[in-house]
Amino acid sequence: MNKYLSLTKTFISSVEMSKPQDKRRAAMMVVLSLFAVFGILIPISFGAGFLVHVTTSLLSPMGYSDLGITLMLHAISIFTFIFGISVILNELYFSNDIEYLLPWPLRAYQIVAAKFTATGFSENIMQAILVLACVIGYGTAARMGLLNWLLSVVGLITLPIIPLVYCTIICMFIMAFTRLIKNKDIMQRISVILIFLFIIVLFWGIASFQNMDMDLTMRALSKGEPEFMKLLNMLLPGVPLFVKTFSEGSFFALIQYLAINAVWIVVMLALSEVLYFKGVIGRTGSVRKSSAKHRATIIEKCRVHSPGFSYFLKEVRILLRTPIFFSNCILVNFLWPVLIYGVIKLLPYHISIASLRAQYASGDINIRVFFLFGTVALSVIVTALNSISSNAISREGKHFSFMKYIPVPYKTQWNVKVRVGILFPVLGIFIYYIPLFILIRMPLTDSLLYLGICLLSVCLIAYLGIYIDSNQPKLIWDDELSALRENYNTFFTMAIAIGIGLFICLGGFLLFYRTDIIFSAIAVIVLLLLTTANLLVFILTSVHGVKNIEEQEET
Amino acid sequence: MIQIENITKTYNNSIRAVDSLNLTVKDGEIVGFIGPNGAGKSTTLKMLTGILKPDSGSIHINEFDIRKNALEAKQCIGYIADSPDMFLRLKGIEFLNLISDIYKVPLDVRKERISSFAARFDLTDILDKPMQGYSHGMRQKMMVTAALVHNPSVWILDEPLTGLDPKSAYELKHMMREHADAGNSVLFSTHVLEVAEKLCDKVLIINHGKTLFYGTLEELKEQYPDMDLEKIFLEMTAHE
Repeated sequence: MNKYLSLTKTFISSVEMSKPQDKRRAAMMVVLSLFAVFGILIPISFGAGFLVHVTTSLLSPMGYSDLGITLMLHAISIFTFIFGISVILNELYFSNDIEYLLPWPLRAYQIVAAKFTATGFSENIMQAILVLACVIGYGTAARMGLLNWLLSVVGLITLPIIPLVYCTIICMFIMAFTRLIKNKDIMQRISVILIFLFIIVLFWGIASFQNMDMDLTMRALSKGEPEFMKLLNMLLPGVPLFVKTFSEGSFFALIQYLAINAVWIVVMLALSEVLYFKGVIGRTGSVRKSSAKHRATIIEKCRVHSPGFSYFLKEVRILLRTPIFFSNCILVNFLWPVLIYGVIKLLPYHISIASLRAQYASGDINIRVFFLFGTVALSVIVTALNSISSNAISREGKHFSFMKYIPVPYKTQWNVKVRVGILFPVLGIFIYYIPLFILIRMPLTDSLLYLGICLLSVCLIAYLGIYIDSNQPKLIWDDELSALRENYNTFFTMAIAIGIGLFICLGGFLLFYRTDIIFSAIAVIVLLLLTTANLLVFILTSVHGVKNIEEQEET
Repeated sequence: MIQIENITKTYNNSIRAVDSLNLTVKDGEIVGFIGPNGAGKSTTLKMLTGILKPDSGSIHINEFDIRKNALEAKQCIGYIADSPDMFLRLKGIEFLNLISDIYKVPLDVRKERISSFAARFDLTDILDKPMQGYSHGMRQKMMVTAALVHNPSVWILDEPLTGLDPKSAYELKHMMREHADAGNSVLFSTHVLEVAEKLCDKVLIINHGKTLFYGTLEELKEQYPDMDLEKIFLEMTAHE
């Protein structure tokens, strides 16, 4: 038990970000934290809680008051499961500390239990707030009593256990039975592909709700619990028991809930004794020697580049070749159409290339407004989501000193990092936009406008992202996923991107639909706004950001 | 030439890692930097290379102030860090090209120097492979090659022999001597006293950031007659 506690304490402490080096940076951290809490955490939690409140109120007369919150908690658990796989896989098999842990006299279950607890702890904070919002939404609609509120507390922090246990068991099975693949990188790439396939299938699944008829659903409810709910309750038995605990104020349900969590943990730890060492031992990154013929050409193929371009190539190569960076920073730029497809399928009306072409041909102004603000929203979100720039300094980790001792001006290094942060989201958007514009026969002026808007929006967030990261980079991390996941700067950048996106889009929509302003004027205003913001951010961040790097010392 | 005047470095306003240190490494000299773990060796080397900023004092590399003329000073330095685990996703040749581009090494010169180092350190067979697959020793050899590919006049080496096989360690020591004899300066930290004894013109012994001794080994032995270097070192650091 002592070994488990010591390990857990150590793993959890490595998750924390270091303290700011001076008062200015500390103040900046406070401002960004407040922005993230009020800009993301509270609005999302409020939205989830409100949705639960409304569905509970609507379904209560039919005797299905629990359905809304049960569905919401299932959705939260499914997302925990999906995103948990890569986290658990990385923590258990690919983090740098593994090679130190293996020679120690530790049992497999002790390592797995400690890693599981540390992962659960770091994953839990955001989720606990979200679950609390859902319970508040339900409790206010169902007018819960004091006892019910008290009974709900346990579930707030324990709900992710079963999804994360599933992740752990799946990872242990995959790794134990793919021992022939000895190379860590190949294994990591395969797991990344599987996770993305899973996400795509999930969105396709969501899209299948397109034909969901509300009347039919209500009729199905009146005949009893729908089949998919039965399936979800079977797969995630903690959710219905947790809901029963506070909705009925049942101590028995609470005991059942705790027991089922305990059983799953015991199963996971028992399996770890059989599977964990089988999968973790023997994975290497060995190197083969080149053939004599190839050897002769290696040095002959050397080329001279400018320091800036060579630095740029270094950044791109690391992003492309590190599986975690590739999936989280590169691939996400190209996957947004899957999400858009899912959203379009959920809409009550039909959207296709032909319908867009017809709308554009008919001179419908709404489609132009939709593209204008849709481009702003898409560009800022994709740029913030890929975390290339908001992790640009943190990504250096223990190599941060390299930035300091090479004879390349900090400003050059800064600009190269920003350019990398601009390149991938722009590529990821242009690669779909240009064929789409051709297919819907969009006029060249409009096409150029949207591409320009995209570029300006991406630049703005890229500069802000790297500036935020330079303020307090997370330079100590065990593995690449931790560099991304444990870096609050990516979260802060996302909050600011959402804020900017909402400000421009909502403001623009209101201006357009509440006044007689013409589309061209709106487009010019957005262009001017983005250009001015870019100029301001460029000047401010180039001076202060470079200074941040100059003053930043190894932590 | 390296000139350090009265530099001090304090971490978190409480831990004084380096305390009023003075040192001059003249052209043609090899100076060994000796001290127990945590003595302030790496901190000093990091201040010399511009990684850390001293709280006070000045550092000049070939007359260039490391703060006022940072780029010029850095261009003169070949630095080997204490960890060779750098940019492991890059292939060896890509890393060497990156460093050559950064230090603006012309194509012909870089080809010649990379070929020469690769042959001396047995790296030729693995240059086009990602460094992640290299052993610790191979990575260290790659760091040595990268640090020296631009033929810097000032070598600042933090534990450069760690992890090297006997042949490569011999090669590097030989190169250090050659480099100093050609009129350049070498400053390196080490825990291996025999290496310092055989290779260095002067040694600097520090503990708790303070200089305990700076001079030739003969001068040191004169102060402690009838004692070998190991015992002298233990005696000096024990009384600190």
